[in-house]
Amino acid sequence: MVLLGGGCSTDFLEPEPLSFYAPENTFIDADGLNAALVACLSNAKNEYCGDGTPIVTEHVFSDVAVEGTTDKTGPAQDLPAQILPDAELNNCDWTRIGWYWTAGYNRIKYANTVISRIDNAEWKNEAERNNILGKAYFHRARVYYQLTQQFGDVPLILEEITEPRLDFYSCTRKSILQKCKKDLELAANWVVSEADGAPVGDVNKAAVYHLLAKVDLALLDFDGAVAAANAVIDDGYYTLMTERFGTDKSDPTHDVIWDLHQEKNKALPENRERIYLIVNSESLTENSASVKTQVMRQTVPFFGGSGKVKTPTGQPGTTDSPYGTKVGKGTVEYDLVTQYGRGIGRCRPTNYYQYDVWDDPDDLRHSYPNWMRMQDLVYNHPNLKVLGDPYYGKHLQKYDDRGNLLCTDTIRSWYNWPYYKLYMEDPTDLTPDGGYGDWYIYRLAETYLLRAEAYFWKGELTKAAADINAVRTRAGCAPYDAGDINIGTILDERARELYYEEPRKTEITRIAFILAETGKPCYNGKTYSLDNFSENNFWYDRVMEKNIFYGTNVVAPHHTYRAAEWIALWPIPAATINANSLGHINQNKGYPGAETNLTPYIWRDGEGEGEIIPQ
Amino acid sequence: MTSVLLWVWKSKLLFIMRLAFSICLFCLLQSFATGTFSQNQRLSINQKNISIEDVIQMIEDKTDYYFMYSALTVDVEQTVDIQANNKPIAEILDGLFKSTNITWKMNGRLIALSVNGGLPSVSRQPRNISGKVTDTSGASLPGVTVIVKETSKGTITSSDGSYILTNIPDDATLVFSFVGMKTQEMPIQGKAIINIVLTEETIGIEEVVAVGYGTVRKKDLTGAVSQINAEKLERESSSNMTALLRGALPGLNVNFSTSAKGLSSAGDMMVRGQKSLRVDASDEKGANAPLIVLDGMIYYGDMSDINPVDIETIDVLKDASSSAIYGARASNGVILITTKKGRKGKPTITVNSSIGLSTRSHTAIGLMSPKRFIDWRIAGYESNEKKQESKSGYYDSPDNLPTGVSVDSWKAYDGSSEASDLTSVWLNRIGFSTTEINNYKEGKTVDWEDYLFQTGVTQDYNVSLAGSSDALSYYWSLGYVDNEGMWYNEDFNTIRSRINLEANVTNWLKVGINTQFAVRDESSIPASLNMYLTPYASSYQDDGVTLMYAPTGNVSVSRHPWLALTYQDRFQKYNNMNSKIYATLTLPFGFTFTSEYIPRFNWNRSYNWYSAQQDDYTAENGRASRENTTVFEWQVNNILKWNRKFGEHSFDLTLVQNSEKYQYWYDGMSRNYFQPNDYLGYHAMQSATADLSITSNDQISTGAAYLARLNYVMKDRYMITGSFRRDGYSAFGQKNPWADFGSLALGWMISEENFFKIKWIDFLKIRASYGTNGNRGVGIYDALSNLATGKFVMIEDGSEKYVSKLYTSRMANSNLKWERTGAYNGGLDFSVLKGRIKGNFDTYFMKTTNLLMERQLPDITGFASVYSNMGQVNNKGFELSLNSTNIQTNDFIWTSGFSVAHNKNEIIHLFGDYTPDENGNMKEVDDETNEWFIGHSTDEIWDYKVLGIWQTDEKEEAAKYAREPGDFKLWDYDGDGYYTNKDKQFLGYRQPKYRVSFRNDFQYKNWDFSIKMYSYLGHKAANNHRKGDDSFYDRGTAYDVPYWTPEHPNNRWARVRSYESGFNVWEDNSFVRIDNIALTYSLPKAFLDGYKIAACNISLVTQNPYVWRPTWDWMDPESQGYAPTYYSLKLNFTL
Repeated sequence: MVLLGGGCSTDFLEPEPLSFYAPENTFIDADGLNAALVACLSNAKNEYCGDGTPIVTEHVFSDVAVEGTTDKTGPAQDLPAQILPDAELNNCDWTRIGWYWTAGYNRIKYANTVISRIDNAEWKNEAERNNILGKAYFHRARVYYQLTQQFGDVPLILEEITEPRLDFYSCTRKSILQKCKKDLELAANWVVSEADGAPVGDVNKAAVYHLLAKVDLALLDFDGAVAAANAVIDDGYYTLMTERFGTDKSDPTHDVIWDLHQEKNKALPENRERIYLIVNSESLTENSASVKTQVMRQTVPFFGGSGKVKTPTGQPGTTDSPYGTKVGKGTVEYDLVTQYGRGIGRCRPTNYYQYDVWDDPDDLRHSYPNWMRMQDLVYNHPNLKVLGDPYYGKHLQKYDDRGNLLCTDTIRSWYNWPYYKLYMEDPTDLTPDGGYGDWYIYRLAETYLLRAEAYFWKGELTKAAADINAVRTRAGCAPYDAGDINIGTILDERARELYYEEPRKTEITRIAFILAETGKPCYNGKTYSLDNFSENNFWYDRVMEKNIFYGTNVVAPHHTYRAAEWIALWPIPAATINANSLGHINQNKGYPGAETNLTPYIWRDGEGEGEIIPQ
Repeated sequence: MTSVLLWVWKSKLLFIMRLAFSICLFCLLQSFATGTFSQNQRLSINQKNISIEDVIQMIEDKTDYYFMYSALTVDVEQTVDIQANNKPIAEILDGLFKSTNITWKMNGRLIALSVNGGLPSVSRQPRNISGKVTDTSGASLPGVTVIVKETSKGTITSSDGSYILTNIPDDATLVFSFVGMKTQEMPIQGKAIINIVLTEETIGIEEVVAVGYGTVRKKDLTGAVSQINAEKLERESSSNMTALLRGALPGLNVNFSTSAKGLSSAGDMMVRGQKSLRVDASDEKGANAPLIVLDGMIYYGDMSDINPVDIETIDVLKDASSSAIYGARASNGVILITTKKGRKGKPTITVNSSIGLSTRSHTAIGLMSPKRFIDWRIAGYESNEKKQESKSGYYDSPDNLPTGVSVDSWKAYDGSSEASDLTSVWLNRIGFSTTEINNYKEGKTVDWEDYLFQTGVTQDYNVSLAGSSDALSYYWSLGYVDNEGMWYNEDFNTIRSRINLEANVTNWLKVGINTQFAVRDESSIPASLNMYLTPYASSYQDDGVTLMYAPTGNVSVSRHPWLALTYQDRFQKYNNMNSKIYATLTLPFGFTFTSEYIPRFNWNRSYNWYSAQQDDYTAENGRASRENTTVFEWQVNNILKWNRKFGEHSFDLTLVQNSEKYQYWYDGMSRNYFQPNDYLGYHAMQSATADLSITSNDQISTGAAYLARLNYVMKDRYMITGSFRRDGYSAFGQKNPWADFGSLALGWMISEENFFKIKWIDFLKIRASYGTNGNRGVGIYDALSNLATGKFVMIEDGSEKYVSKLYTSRMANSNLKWERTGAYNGGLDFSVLKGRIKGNFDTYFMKTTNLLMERQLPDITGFASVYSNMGQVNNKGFELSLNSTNIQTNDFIWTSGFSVAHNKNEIIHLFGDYTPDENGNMKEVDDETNEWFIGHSTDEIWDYKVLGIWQTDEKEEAAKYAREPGDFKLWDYDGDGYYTNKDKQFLGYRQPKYRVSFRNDFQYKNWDFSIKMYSYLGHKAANNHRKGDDSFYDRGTAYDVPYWTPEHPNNRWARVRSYESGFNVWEDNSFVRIDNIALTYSLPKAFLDGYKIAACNISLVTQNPYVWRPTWDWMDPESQGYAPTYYSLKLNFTL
């Protein structure tokens, strides 16, 4: 009895994958390559979803917010001490600088897979091919646009990498942007518009133009930026929402600003302000198809902390337990946590964004119930009722009658916030963090503000004012005069309109580069130059001017808030530099490691994707 | 003692007989040597008419010489006259025998007597044989099987050890066998009375050692093999075999287990050092896991499925030559487990039962007491919020205010001037919730340790039936284990059964089956510790029955430790079957052929229901999941062996053809929103209305091998082993499925040589080997590019729908191939001082190349790493093991076992990328991300050096680094004011430099006492608990350990919630553990005989009673957390 296995044949040892796809037999048609582009969309979604949401990092490195979690030493507050190439750069309790880097290059990989394989696939026609190619170009360009404003010169990768490579070099910001412009111009011709059937949640023609406007601005091609913005604003499909619509349409206590940001209204066909939307669904959650935004967890004040908010009688005033919960000997009757969400105060707005920027008392964006103040909340702690405390159910007070502060942590637990935008129903969570909801990435209001900026740089202040006013007046504000317009007022309007939507640090750095490259005098009386960008730049001056945490070195439990000039550009993660042992990736000036920098490479146009060569 | 041992000695017997004799002789000398020996001893004897037997007795009493003879042939009862004054022994003997037909021969200390004239005349007449069987102490042995060889004729000795066999041919041979004794054969050769002394089976040079697809006598061994046998195992008390291996053998490192189950995976063990750069030891790839071979079958199952009572021996193959036969996966060493077979004799039933307790060990650190907790809270607030709140005594109790602070001013600090409830004002300031304040006022506290821990009951019952006739040997066991752990509600139970059958069908065909079946239940959900369970929390709601969801009232962090075990229903069962079915043909010319078929089945079910009654799952109206895993794997071995002796040359050839196939099927689903309710839990997945996930994952891998091994022994003292193996594996199946490995090993029993004259050395063997082995420890598909699939949501035509997401998550490497280790081993086996001390010493050097590793890539490629073969790691070290008999008298025996193992490795190459260093010399690039540095070891610690704690007077200096007094002070090596990689230092090693074990066994009459200790020395581990950041000070509690305050500074434990990011606090982790103490009483045979009980003993055993760790400031040094101590009472008996 001799038992024989199949040991003798070579076939016996051939690997046999059963439950996963291989690129060779999958990326061969529109379905396969579109699925690769869905990976780009999914990656982009994570900038706005999940815990330690990366968009918070874009905000705390700007004039509108700081890291407000005061209970640990990780969060980025003392920027020159904490933001270092070797430090933890991708952790929800530290910073998400590293997410932008790693996830950004992952998205580039997904896009490059499509770009490199575009002619290996079967196509019905050129339009089908170029729609896919154009969308891939959009995703890649969007990452490079953001990376170049965050990190400056970075490695440029334009093809799918299938073998180990460790020989990358930094490429100039400028030439990377030129490649993006070229790609976006092709994409703009081919990517399908929403009017022509592009699904909501996917990239469309308007999104391409919107991004092209940004890239043109960064390249000082202001005419190009105007033209790109025109292509969206004037195409007849898009319009700013000025009339009530959506689920609360007939509720007179609300307004169009409210309607625009309600989760259920963002994807509605009649919403023509939406350009590029992240789509999430409470019911379609398999396989992380939808991701919780956790927007309240990041942005709402931490009012639930025990004893953080006290009554004038010295009792804990608030609880984040939901309705009906037993707390001590009482039961929760005023359900703050379900109404506002459970915040941890991670994205803590500055006084600039809470108070100073609001120059018009009629601004709907800054009015109750769109805008929420702590004083609009009520003392809800059930123990107050048990004690017969007179403040139970009364509105919160920051000070008592003698002027004593009643909140022990005003960084984290006491501030105002744009409730209309930062509330998202989270039905499965007892202490809602922010559920599976849609989120705007590009919205027509920003296209107007981009065009306003292009006009501003061109010196056409009247047109600039008109574009800003289109956004302002919709929110109930009085219009600006042309004489009011400078880059500061444009940034102010962006802050009012685009909080927690725009990548704020990216946009300020882009403007800092424009000021440095053009040498135009800034409203603050300074002029800038590229030569000493890391020592003297508009990003730092703007942050120090408007963000009093950094500007006045506010002291938090673990850190003193500080910023520094060189942090206008984030550090290249040391792990990348170290792993790239056969090439050289430059470190940004101001950080350890910059002393070995080499002259960066440039991208030069040519056949196919062009070439990346030393200068 | 010697005089009771009878033996046949004939100087002219065949070579084979001499061989047997010399082996026995050796053992004899080993076993019975006492006193001092001198070659030139002189003696005076003056006696007339004295029997030769008495003279022999006198010589034995006064000297170290022993006599050996057959009382049937040598007439020692004849009387002689002897006159010798201070004469050498030889002279006395010549005189003694000169008038007799007896000749003598001296060999070392043994004097053998024989009758002149060679072979006795052999009569072919059948006759009756009788005799008595005793053990070495002279006690009669009942129940011994006495068989006439090659017949079915036989009998069993009676209660006084005597036997009678009738009508036995003169040329027959009797075979005496008894459980626990060495089987002896005795040719009749005309004798009518044959008395036999059976010796116990003990570990010695004669022991047979498994070497893979066969066995070899330990004395013929050329490689480095360590063995422990069942007898030792039975002394200890554990239901998991890995506990028995811990500290038992030098060079075998076994992780510490804290669970009721014990260790599961071979990856929890390591032979010699870490050869791979991958440390994913616990995952299924097992990069550093030794290969487990169970009864000749490569075993991928769970360690806890092997019942320790079934184990006969465990052999660990450490060097390349021994393990080369398993070349494919053997570079990390091989652990061969041999289970019991039925022994010749009547059926025996053995019952092993153990019942015991498990508790937390003495190293446990509890949570803070209510009083300390409040101090800690105040310290936490003062440490962290002083910048916001600097008013003097703000956080202090109103009863304990600093001087100069009045209660009124204290009240006014936060607008509480009108407050009359000062306690609430104060407790509010230190973060107490209303629940906690109420409990404080009412004096109610909770000791959460009562909820977290238990004194568990452990039970282990086994029964086995074993026996053997000529035709069939059988062993069947059934065992049940139910271990409660130290954590509340922690429970593990398993039922294990084994059947080993072997039938001699004809004299040329043997068939057998070894089957193991186990059912494991891992459903229990232990209580879970979280640091947000403060002493003033409430464990129950007002009704006193319903658990508090958030005991402190803080719904975001505080969770009752019993939530999961109350509201979650888990069903987690593993049914595993392992089997080997084989047949062996005995062929002419010394050939045998064996064919083995080895199937393994696993059926694993993991079902969970998260009840909607628990608040977390109320909104989704319950959640449930079902996961099913099936594994079917087979191996086929065809083994041809040839064993032949030609004069002084003996050959043992083994040829094997092997193939295997592994198949894995997984399906899982997770759903929620049950309707109308979720009461049916995971039993009715169809009543859920939404999917969380539906997944399947199937895998296949295949392997094949051809191998050859030749053992050649010459003159019983020169040994050589050569082996070759060709291995194939489907994970490398694109380009390099096959790899070749080989080995050569030499042994020389130098003490057998005539020129060897060192008298105090009884035995000395030198071994040397070199060989190559492979490692295939990568995932089945790691060489292939993988498209990760996912889903995404888009809206088309107004409706949400799923769209498919695909992205490349793994870079392909079609060139992936075998990792290869070349290993040199040099060893010595020795026995000195008449066997008082025996030992082995091995030293080795291993070079591992083509390391299978995840090569770090710049993350901008979109891949973190790719599986590659690169680099080189060298390991070197030594192992010394010593066994000594310290005291041996009739009543008292004290033996010791000591071992020490040392290993050090070094990364020689990584990726082969070079850059110029400061001096312009080309230097290979390190991998800082993985902390791999050329010239350093894989376990070297590279981190910031902790200099101490910043003290109050160093505030300004600390502030430069954004630190504060009470934070750890790190060394800014380059002084640039930042902590960067340039400041990191090499701070020591994670792996012990030395692993030492020390075991002592005492035997006094019927009492046995053993104590096993082991120690790991010279390594460090991170103790980040010293950072004081186990929880948030305003919500949580802390372990009961010190912390820094300005008033009570120290230089070791940081302030509450100190700066914790980016570094570890390393401490010397050396320790000495008392691993096992056992006291056993064996009931006297005389007593048991009356009940027909062969053996019975009772033991008290404790495991892990104590660990001494002078430099380690945390709990158990190995588990680095809570660890259990076990106490058990065992009762074993054999019928």
